[in-house]
Amino acid sequence: MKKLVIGFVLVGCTNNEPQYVTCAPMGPSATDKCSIEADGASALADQQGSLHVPVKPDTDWRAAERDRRMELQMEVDPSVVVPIYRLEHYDLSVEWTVTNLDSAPGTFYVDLNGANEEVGYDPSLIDLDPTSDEDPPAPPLSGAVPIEIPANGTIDGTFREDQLLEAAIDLEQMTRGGYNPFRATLTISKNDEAFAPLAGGAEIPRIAWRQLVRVDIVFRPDHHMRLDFQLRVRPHYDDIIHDKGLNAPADEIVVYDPPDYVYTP
Amino acid sequence: MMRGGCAVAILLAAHSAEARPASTGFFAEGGLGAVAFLPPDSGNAAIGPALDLRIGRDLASWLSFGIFLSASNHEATVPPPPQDQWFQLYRGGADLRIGGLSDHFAFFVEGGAGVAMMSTNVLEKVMTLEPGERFSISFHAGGGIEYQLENRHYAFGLAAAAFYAPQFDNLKGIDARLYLRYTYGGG
Repeated sequence: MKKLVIGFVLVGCTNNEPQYVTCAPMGPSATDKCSIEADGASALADQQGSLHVPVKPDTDWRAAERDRRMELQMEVDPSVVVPIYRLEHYDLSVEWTVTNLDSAPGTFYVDLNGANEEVGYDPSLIDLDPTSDEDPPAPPLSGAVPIEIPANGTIDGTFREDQLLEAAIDLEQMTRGGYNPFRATLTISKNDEAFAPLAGGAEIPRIAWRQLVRVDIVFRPDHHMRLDFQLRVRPHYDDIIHDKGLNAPADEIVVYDPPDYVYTP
Repeated sequence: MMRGGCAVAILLAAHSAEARPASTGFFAEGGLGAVAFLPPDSGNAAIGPALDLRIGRDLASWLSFGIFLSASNHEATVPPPPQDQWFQLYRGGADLRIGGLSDHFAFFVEGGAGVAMMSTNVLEKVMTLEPGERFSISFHAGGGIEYQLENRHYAFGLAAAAFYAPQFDNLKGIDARLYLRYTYGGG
């Protein structure tokens, strides 16, 4: 009986319960947009939405978790920077719902991009071959799958945790490893323990890989449709994710909008 | 008030009838059941299975004090997204139970207070929860019936209680359970 009660209490105290993050227009990340209404003629800017992960500044973490970064930095090659927000800290997934507002069936794409604490990824800014007009557009970190939807229909979908994990790693491979975006996104790296930069230098171990701190969604419908999405964050450490999400006071979360990745062929 | 007086009178009358021997003393109960939210929250969370554990002490043959833990699992049926997400409602607290035994059956009413906790903020979307809110005080009241086995230590019971969590936007629900009770002690 005693074991049962202890088990029951422990179940209630697990710290990796998911937290659902939606836009908070009055919060410190007021420009986030998690509802996109577009059609086939919409400009790219009108097809994009973003949502930040409500990460706390590391100064608000427990000392043990803050010190862990220093300990990890001592373990890796001095040329490798151990980031603040790492893969070990939390898992992300994105839940989305598309509503066809048109009386005709249609097709849409939901693409996922994002940013870590150092760099963002916007494939529309990347020219893979400046010498050619026929080079393919750079791929998104995830998505790019056509999905059919009936007239006035609704379809739900998810970018799963393993897809967001892969996306975070792909962004690292591009920005720290110098990988071509196609190579990074078309290879499965989520079980890798390290990768070596193409330009040479020390291997970057998994423990030093950055986690995404912002998720960007591009919604490309061929008819008038609306996409609503939200983040599902599953923290593995206390004190990394703010309980109030993006409604937290401005000085209690960090809203990262780093410069976008510049591809050099 | 009138209704409460009648209930006590019935219980006392029942207690005075010929009753099967039953232990009184420390007791433990384990139950399985279901929790359903009442409107307006019934549209945002489906009815879910529940597990209840309770330990306590009979202060008299007709009065007992107990502490309880309860966990229930619910599918969030909020407008998507999210879709197909589940959350758990944990409740714990203390209560008093008044009852009496008549023949094979015991009847009781109970009421108490405690704390309720939501495992996630999925109901934040429908404003059942405020940002960052996970805990509420909770109150509950209900009643039940127990069937006393020939072994004086054991009884099966069926109980139902309504609960109220004011910090969760006045969340109200019903907890119904079937349970097995073991009482350690003499008759």
